Parts: sequence; C-alpha cells; structure tokens
Amino acid sequence: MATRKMPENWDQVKELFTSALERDAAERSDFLREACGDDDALRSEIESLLSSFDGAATFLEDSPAADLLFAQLRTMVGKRIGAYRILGEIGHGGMAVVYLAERADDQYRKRVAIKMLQPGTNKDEILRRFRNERQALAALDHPSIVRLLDGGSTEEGLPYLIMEYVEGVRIDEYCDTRKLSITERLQLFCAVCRAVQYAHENLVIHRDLKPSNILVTRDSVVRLLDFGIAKVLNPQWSPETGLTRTDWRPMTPEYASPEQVRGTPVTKATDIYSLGVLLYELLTGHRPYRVGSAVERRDYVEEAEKPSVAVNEIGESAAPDDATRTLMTPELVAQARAIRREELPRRLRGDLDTIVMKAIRLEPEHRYASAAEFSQDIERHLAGLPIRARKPTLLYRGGKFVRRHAESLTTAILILAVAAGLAVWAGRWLWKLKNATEPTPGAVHARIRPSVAILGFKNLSGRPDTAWVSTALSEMLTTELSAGEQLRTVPEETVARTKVDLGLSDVESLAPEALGQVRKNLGSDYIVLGSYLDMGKEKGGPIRLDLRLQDTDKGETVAAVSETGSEKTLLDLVSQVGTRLRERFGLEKLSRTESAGVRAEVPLNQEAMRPYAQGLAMVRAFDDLSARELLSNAVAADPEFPLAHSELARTWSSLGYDADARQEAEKALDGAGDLSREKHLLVEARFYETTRDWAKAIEAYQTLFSFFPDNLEYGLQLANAETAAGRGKDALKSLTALDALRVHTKGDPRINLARSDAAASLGDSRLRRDTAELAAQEAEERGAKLLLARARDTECRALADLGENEKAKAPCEEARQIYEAAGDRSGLAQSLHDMAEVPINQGDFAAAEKLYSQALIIARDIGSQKGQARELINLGLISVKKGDFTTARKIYDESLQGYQNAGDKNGMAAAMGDTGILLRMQGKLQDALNHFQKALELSNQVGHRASSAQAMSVIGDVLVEEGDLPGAYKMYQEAATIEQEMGRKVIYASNLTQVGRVLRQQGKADEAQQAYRESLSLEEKLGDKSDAAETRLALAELDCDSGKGTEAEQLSRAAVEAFRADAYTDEESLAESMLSRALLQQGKLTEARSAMGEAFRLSQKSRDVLIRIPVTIDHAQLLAAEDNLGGAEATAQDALTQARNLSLFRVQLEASLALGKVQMQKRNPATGRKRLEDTEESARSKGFGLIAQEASAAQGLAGSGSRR
Amino acid sequence: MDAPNHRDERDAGNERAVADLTALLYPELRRLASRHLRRERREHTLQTTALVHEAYLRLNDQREVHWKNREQFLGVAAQLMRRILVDYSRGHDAQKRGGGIEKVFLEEAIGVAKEKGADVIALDEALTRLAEFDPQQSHLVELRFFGGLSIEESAEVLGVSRTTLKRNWNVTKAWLARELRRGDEKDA
Repeated sequence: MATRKMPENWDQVKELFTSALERDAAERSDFLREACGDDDALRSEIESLLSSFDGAATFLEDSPAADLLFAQLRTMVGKRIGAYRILGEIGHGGMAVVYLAERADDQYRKRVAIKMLQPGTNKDEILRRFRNERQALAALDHPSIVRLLDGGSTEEGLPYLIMEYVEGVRIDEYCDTRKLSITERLQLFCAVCRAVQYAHENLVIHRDLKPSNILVTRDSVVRLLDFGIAKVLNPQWSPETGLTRTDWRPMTPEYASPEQVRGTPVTKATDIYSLGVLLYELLTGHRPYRVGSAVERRDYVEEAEKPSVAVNEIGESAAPDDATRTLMTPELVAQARAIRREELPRRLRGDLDTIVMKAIRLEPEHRYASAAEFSQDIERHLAGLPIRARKPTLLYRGGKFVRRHAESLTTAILILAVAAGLAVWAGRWLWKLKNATEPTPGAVHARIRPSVAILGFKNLSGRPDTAWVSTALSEMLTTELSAGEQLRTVPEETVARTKVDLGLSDVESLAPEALGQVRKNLGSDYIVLGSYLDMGKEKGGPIRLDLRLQDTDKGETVAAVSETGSEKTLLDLVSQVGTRLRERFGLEKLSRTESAGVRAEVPLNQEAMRPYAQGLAMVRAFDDLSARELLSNAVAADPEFPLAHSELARTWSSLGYDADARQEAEKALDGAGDLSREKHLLVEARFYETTRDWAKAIEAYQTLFSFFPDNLEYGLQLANAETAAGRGKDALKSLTALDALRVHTKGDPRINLARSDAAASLGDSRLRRDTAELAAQEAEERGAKLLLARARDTECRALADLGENEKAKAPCEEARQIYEAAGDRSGLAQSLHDMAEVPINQGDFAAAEKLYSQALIIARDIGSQKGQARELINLGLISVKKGDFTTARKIYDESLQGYQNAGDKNGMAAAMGDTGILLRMQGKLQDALNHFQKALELSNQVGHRASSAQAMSVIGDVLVEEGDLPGAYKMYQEAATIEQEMGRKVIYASNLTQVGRVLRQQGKADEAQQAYRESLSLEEKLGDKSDAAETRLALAELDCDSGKGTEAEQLSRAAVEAFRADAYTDEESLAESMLSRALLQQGKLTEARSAMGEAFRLSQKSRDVLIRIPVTIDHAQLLAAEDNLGGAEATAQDALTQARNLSLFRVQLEASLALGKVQMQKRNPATGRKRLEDTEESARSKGFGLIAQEASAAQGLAGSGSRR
Repeated sequence: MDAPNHRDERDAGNERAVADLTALLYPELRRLASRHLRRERREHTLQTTALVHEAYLRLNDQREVHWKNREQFLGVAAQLMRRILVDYSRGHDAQKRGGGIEKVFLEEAIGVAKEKGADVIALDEALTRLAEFDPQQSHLVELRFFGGLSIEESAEVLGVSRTTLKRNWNVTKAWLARELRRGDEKDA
C-alpha cells in the first residue's frame, strides 16, 4: 500500500500541512493549490491528512499511562529538596518513598537518602513530631547509627527526612551470603546491640528494628537505619486507632513486641524484643513466629492467651503460599552457617536458647533490662563463661521453665524437617503466652542512683527584693546536678510541698531528726542547703553562697562549699558549686553537651530569671494569679525559654483557661529542642496533659519512667495520666509496680492517693475510701500536712458516696482546716465542694448551697475559671432539686459560658447534659435530646469516654419516652460496653438496669430479669445503696407484671427505705407508688391507699413530669380498685392529657391503658374496648410488647370486679 | 550531524535497559498482584499506585541500571510503558494472562487508549512505521502518549526545540489517525 511506504517528501508534507492548518479552512484549498503547483499527489496527501486531523482533536492528547503511573514519579526525579537533587528511588514503605539524592551544587557530590512521606499522611503532626525529635535524633552520634541530617517539607507540603546514604546489605542476607558461622553471627549481633544501647542511653527507642533496617557495609560495619523514625512517623499506636491503620504504620508485625501489638506503651524493652527476634532469625534461619499482618498477629497473641491452645500445633501450620522466601530446609540453614546439619541443634541448645528466649519474653520486665546486658550475655557465652540468664531467678517455675524452653531453638530446626521447611514455630511461644501474666510497667533491674534534694537557701540580707535568688539557686542547682543523669534530684516542686508539710523554713543546716524526716518524705539520700548574702542590684549584686551537703541517713555534713559571684552570673556561680559537689560524689565533670543542656534550662538573662524564680515561688505558695503575672513577665523577657512557657501553661491550666494553657504549652514544646532529653520529654508530656491528649501523655511518662525507673514522680504522673485517660485499671497496675520499686518510696502517701483517684475514676468508692485512709495514715506518720488534707478530703468524698454521711463530716472538716491554715485556697475550695456532698445526700439543700457558694467565691477570688463553672453547675443542680427551674436554667447557662470561655469541652458537655436533664424533667423531650446529643458530641471530641457513656445513657432514657425502644437499647448497650471496658462497675450495673427496662417494655420478661439480677449483684457487692434500690424497684415492677405481689412488695419496701435514707424524694415517690401497686395486687387496699398517699404527696413536690404523671396513673388504678370509677376516669384522663400535651409516648401508652381499663369497668365498655384496641395497636407498632399484651388482655375483662 | 548519532547511541543504551527491566518487571508485577489481592482492604486506586510504584522501585534498585539523568529515565519509562501495554494487548485475547490488580490496571490503561481512539497494537505498529522515516516524531508520540510527558518535557528528552515539536505534533497526529483508521477499514 502506498501509504505504508515512507513518503519521500515527508518534510515538505509536514511544512505544507502546518502552514495550511494555520489558515482558515476556506483559504486552505487555494493555498494548497498554489503551494503544490501541479503535484497533485502531494496536494491530495495533505488534504487527506487535514481531513484526518479534523476528526482527531483529542486523539493521543491524553496519555493512558500518565495519570495512572508516572505522575508522582515524574514530579520527584530530578527535583531539588533543599540542597539535594533526587536521583531516583531506593525503596518504599507503606507511607513513604525513599529516594537517593545528591548535593545539587555538585560541590562534593555527597549522597543522601531522602524519605518522602506520601500525601495523605498527617503531615502537621509528623512535622511537629519531627521538630521535637530532631534534636534527639541528630544527637545520636555513633558509627553504627545512620545519621538523620535534616527534615522539612516540600513546596507541595510533603514532609521529608534526609538521612545519610548507606551502601550495604541487610544483615540477614549478609550473614547468609557470606556463610557466617554462629560465632561470627553472634559477634555481628553484639555490634547491633552496642548501637542500640548507645541510643537507649540517649533516650531514643528504635521501635522498628528488623533486618531491613540493619545494613552491613562492605567493610563489615553494622549500620542501623531509621532510629526513632517510627516515632516521628507514627507517634502513637493505640488499640482504639491503631488496628485500622496497620497498613501504613511502620511497625513490622513479625518483629513487633507483644506490647506494640497490644498497643500498650513502648519502652526500650520493645527494642530488646525485636533484637531477640532478629537473633533468633540469624541463628535458625527463620523467625520464631510469622504471620501475615499485625491484625492477625494481634488476634494471635490474644487467642494464645486462651488456655486451649496446645503445644502439639507445632509443625502443622506451614505457610506454603509464601513465595517470597526460599524453602529453608535444615540443610540449607546449616549450610549457610558453615556447620553440619546434625551439629546445629547442639550448638543452639543451652545458652543460646536461654539467651534468645529471655529476650523475647512476653512480659517486658522479664527480658534483658538493656541491650548491653543482652550482648554481655552473648559475650560471656562466647568466652565460655556462665551466662547471666541462667541465674536462679529464671527458675521460678521449679526449673520447668528452663527445661521446657531448652529445646526451643533446636525445635525450630527440627520442625523444618517435619513441615518441609516452612513451619511456623508457635507452640513454645504460645505456651509462654498462656502462662504469662499481664505485663506491668517498671523495670525490676532499675539502677538506683543516689538522690539529692536542694532544700533552699536562707536569705542572710533579709531583703525581700533578693528573696528570689533562693528559688533561682535551688532551681539551677537542681538542673546542674541532674545533668549527666548520675544523680537523681528531687523536683523543687516536691521539695517546696514537703517544706510546707514539715513546716521547714530556710535554714543553714538540719539537725539529725529533721534530716530523718526529710529523708522519709523526700526519699533523698542527701540534701543541699545553706545561705546566701545578696547585696542587691544597686550594689552591683555581689553574692556570697555558702552551702552544705548533708547525708540524710548518717546525719552528717559531707561537704561545705563557699563561692562568690553576682546576680548577673548566677549560673556560673551555680556551676562552680555544682562541679565541687560532683567531685564530692566522685562523679565526672559535665561534658560540653551536658553543660549546654543545663544552660538551656535556665533563662537567658536576669530580667527573665528574676520573675521566673518569683513565679515558681508563687506557684508553690498556691498563688496562681500572681504566678501567672510573674511568669508572663518572664516569658516576655525571654520568649525563647521553654520552661517558663511550660510553667505558665500549667498556671493557666490550673486557673482553668485551657485555650491559653494550650498556647503556652505549644510554645514550650516548640522551644524545647535544646533541653536535655529528659526535660524535653517532660515538657512534651505536659503539653499532652494540657491538650488532654492522654494517650500521648501516658506514652511520654511511660518513656520517662522506663528510663528513670528510680524516679517516683514519673511513675506517679504516669498513673495520674492513666486515670485521667479513663484507664484506671492501668493506673492501679502502674502503682503496684511503683510499690515494688524501691525502699525509699515505700509508704509515700502520694502512691495511695493516686490509687484512690484511680479508684474514683473506676467508680469504686470502697477502694477509694480504703486507699484514702491509708494515704492519710502515711501522711500523718510523716507529718505531711497537705497530703493529709488531700487524703482526708478524698476519704470524705468516698464516704459520702458510700452513703456514710455522718462519718464523712469529720475528715472533710479536717481537710478544710489544714488547707485554710496552709493558705492553699484551691484546696480549700475543693474541700468545701466535697463537703457539700453530705448535706446533698441528706436533703439539706440550703446547707449544700451555702458550701457551694463559699467555694464559688474562692474560685472567683483565685481566678479559677473552671472552678467557678463547676460550683455553678452544682448550684444549678440544687435549684433543680428545689424545683426552681428558672434559676437553674440561668445558672446552667452561666456555667456553660464559663466552660466555654475556659475552652473546656468536657465541662461544656457536663453543663449541656445537666441542662438536658432539666428539659427532660419538664417534658421537653426533643429539646433535651438536642442537648444530650451536643454533650455526646463534645465528649466524643475530647475523647472523654466516661462522659460519652453518660450522654448515651441519658439519650437512651429520652428515646424510651419517645417510643424508640431499639434506639434506646442501642444507646444503653454502647454505654454499658464503655463502662465495662473502663471498669466502672457501678455505672455499668445501672446501664444494665436500663437495658433491662427496655427488655421489659418489649415484653421480654426473662431477659429483663436476667439483666436486673446481674446489675443488682454487682451493686450489692460494691455497696452502692441507691443504685441497688433503683434495680430493686425495677425487679418489683417485673414481679408485679407476673402477679407476684408479695415479692414485689418486699422489693419496693426495701427501695423506699434506701431512697428515704439518701433523701432521693423523686425516687422515693416512685417506690411508694410501686409499693401501692404491689399491695393492691394482693388486695391489701388500706395499705395500698396509705402508700399511695405518701407517693402522691412526694410526687407533688417533684417538678419532674416523669415522676408526677406515672404516680397519677397508679393513683387512677387505685381509685378504680376502690370503686371510685368516676374519680379514676378523671384522674387517668388527666394523666393522659398531660402526657399527650408533652408527647411523652411511653407515659401516654400507660395512661391510655389505665384509662381504657377504667372505662371497661365503667358503664361504657365499648369506649374502653376501643381505647384498649387503639392502645394495643399503638404499643405494638412501636414494639412496646408488654403494654400491647396488657391492653389485649384487658379487652376481654368487661364489667365490674375485673381488677388486676 | 552530531545530534542524531548521539541520540542513536542513547537509544541503543535504552533498548538494553528496557529489555532488562521488562524481563524484571513481569514476574514482579504478578507476584505483587497476588500479594495485594490477598489484602483486600486497600482501595483499588491505592493498589494500582502501590503496585506500579513497587514495580518501578524495583527497576530503579537494579544496580546495573544507572540513570544518567532524569530525561533518560523518563524516556525509558515511556518505552517501557509502551511495551507493557502492547504486550498485554497482544496476549490479552489469546490467553487471559495476568491476574488481579495487574490485569485491572493494564485494562484500565488500554481502556483509556481505546477511548481516545487508539488501539494500542495498531498504534504501536503505526509508530514503528513512522519511526522508519521520522524517528523523532515517533519518539515524541511515545513520550507523550505512553510516557505522559508534556511537549516541553518531551523537547528536553529529545534535545530539540519546543516550537519544532509543537509544529510537528499536529501533522504526526493526523498521520497516525489516518493510519489507524485505514487499519480499521482494512480489518472491516
């Protein structure tokens, strides 16, 4: 074909075609005629092309590949990132691509690896994390750790990290291709351990150790990649959020520790575990445990805890579809290790097996305490010395443990023979899992450092304008001495509290008895105290400092140091003193980095130092308002100083201004880059506390505590954060670990106080009371007054909750007096607030109102925004109790406003919820529902699960009244699930009762009975009287339904009594009403009348329509039984009208049923029957099976005498 | 006359690279496809991206392939894509090769091509013919259509001026459109 041949005049064709195309269609043919002359073939070729072109506008314009394939690739290759140009990709993970890049300026062609995050990752969070981590990661300077060079984000906003580029092969491949012997492998592995140890010493956890992150270079140098990157990329992995994100989280399931799989906090023990898996693999050629995904793995771990899993599963779970791995026969494994197949098991048996198994223990605290210990044991093994892992401590299961595991590594090899090479070694692990106890935090191997407390310095000049110097000196010296982490210093805040507790003033030295007391309270081995003489600014601020170091145990002065300096050079003065003290302790001098760290922890200039020190002093003197002002000045004088920001954030927070607190905390975090790793983490933890990001706060404290397990403060803060996060059970566990920690902390009342708080969050009033009592005893023994006050206050509150109102009074009063004497006004407000619980319980609203009002005044005085809002809510509640709904609404609105100003969404949820209850009582169901839903939304936003559950429970109540039983059921169930998870048993029980009520309405009496019974047994066990009464009442109703009048009577009487004791008049009214029904059923008309009289009287006091109308309905039925049919009809009609006006669906059904029955009895059964038919239909349509059934039954009972 | 020689040399080098890479890519794609299929959680588009990405990362990881520059890389990528699509289209009717994601992805690409009036096989053949008398334009189509490059980027890859390419793009389109239509008529 002609066209298939190459046109000889192609260039000419192109030229003419293009020219023709540039002309209007009309001119083209003239143009071509002229241009082509008599070459007709040329002309027709061009015309043909032109006509072809007309129909091909979009032809070839869109590439099928571009969008699908290269879009991202093309944009990256050749691009510049900072000073580097991307050359190509090296690798990729789920959420990041790694590029090879080199310096764009070609100066010295330095090659780097750039990790670029994919779009869609949470880049703000990652960048923030990166900024936080940068300093820590950049500080890792070790030949075996690949350095992080820089990070940032591209123009398109993609975050990236720049790292050293390493040419090497994965450690496992390296070992296999070079056929390294077991010994050589162990040596190489020890090098990995050393790098990990170094990082741990710098407080960096790798979190994602695996062969692909460990390269070996041509010169056999081990290089660890991605240290700490996992934390930057995915800072937190929680059970709630983590499982759905496993695809992109960096954790590698096969190497992840059980705690990572479970989502519990990560410590350095996590790296030890991963190292153990790595060693396992290097030795045996496969992993101890291999599964497809983290999700499966998680199931696996939990499944494994069930005792049904048997050891004989070994060898059956082969994975033949795994094409990525070569078949690893025992021969191949042995070959790659240059050892005979028969010898390999023998080589692995014994020491190596024990070592590996110790490293991969399920419980973090049973693994090696450090990478150093791990590698030391390997080195001992290599040197033929006995290994430590064989110490008798491991034989705690009567020697069985070791024996059962002695074969583990070799088993792995043996299985290979059986299962054709791909068996998952699982049985042994599973055996361990099912025998394992729950992990507890806290390292058993904690190194206990000597501890020092700086007690402060006496101001010899007596001039108040130089008083700040004492605080400044103490603060600086604390920082100075804690640098290098060889000494444990007691936080100055704790020291200040103890000084108040013990009534210590600044003195130059302490007598032995006083020293003993200090030791008991602070757990410090040494104290530093002394005096200073500051001549003040006008004299140039020369300062003379005399201090002594005292041994709190022996009571003697270990050292006395005198130095002179000036206000301007306080820090130099302190470091001179510090150096001399360190000498006395036999400690090394601070390194340059450590000194720099100290400098970062004090303000830049004196203008900032003075208000900062004064501010700290004010915080410790309970004067948050003054503290706020001073700290604001400090921040203004040195905006770069992170600790002032952090302290100011806490002040805002305790004054109840969340938004301001958050802002300051953010500034603190942003400037925290230069702080020591420990301080940095602390600032971070506080930031998360401020933002109520409890999961992350917990993680931060967990890290602090795992690195400084001798620091009680961190353990306490960890527990507190867990309690705040609604993880009271975890808090209790953490506290148990604290108890076991060290002799010094034994009997520190703060541990039991924290326990008491955890118990409160769990709704366990008994445990709360008991632990508070213990804390009070401990505080008393040590003379710790403020702690005693807190303990007494807590005790009082717990007693009140347990209904022991009279007993509660004394501890509350004691707390109040202590707070008042100590000048702790926020403590005072708290005690007044708690004190009000007693009169509330006793129905003395006037007394309660007075206490709340006093607390409100104090809250206003000390400027506590949230404190005011809280007292207001309670005052509103009292107005509700008094039936003054107008005032109540006004107060609630004010409280809501207060919380809103404070930025406290949780408080807002509370105010919303209480307003909703007010509206529900007025029968404004829709309005109430809206408020409850708002409250739920707010609670969900802040992740406060307890509030969410509470909101769900009240939403369920409204839904029942509106006739939406399935909706209500769902809400109750969800609430119950949350409460159960949180371990709040009492509330869980009341949720169960609610569920039971729905079941009863649906006509499922047996299921309702079951729910009620379970609820009651829990409530009885926990000693919650009014909740138990509530459930008894529900049970009575059920008995009444099935004609068991006697039982119903008994239960109702018990409920009446309980409600009366607690002055719950509304509930009492319902209980009397129920009692009346029970008596009526037994034909005890007189008694029924008397009970109804009481019910009616009480209900008239109530402003709650859901009390009044139901009692009215019961009354109508009683009247009918008394043959007062006219009265009965009028009464029932009245109830029906009220219910109908308010659209109270459930009550309407009940009223209609009662009215129908009365009408059937009366002259007009036809009207009655019609009404009952309608009621039945209406009830059935909404699933109210019980009412439908009763309405149906009543239709057959015409005429008089047909009472139920 | 330096330029054409230079280009030829480069093309020859690219040919080898593409041959190596293609051999590499197919088993890779299949393996990935089956693995990805087991994880049904991911979105289809994500799977595609991840799949292709991984394939390319593998390409890049090959030590023997050293990209001289971005242009060369893009040029090879376009050639590679052309080859994958053509091979797939050829084998598509004869045997249902490939599975899962790979198939979905390639069919999607071919679907786009068809929608735009280009049968991949016919286009490939036409391009080969075009290359006999105008290799530059043939290359341009390859870069634009299979590689998804813009005129500007193509100009950089080919080392010629943009205006020349732009001027010649239309006539090439017209010529190819006619070739494909004639192919259809002949088939019909």
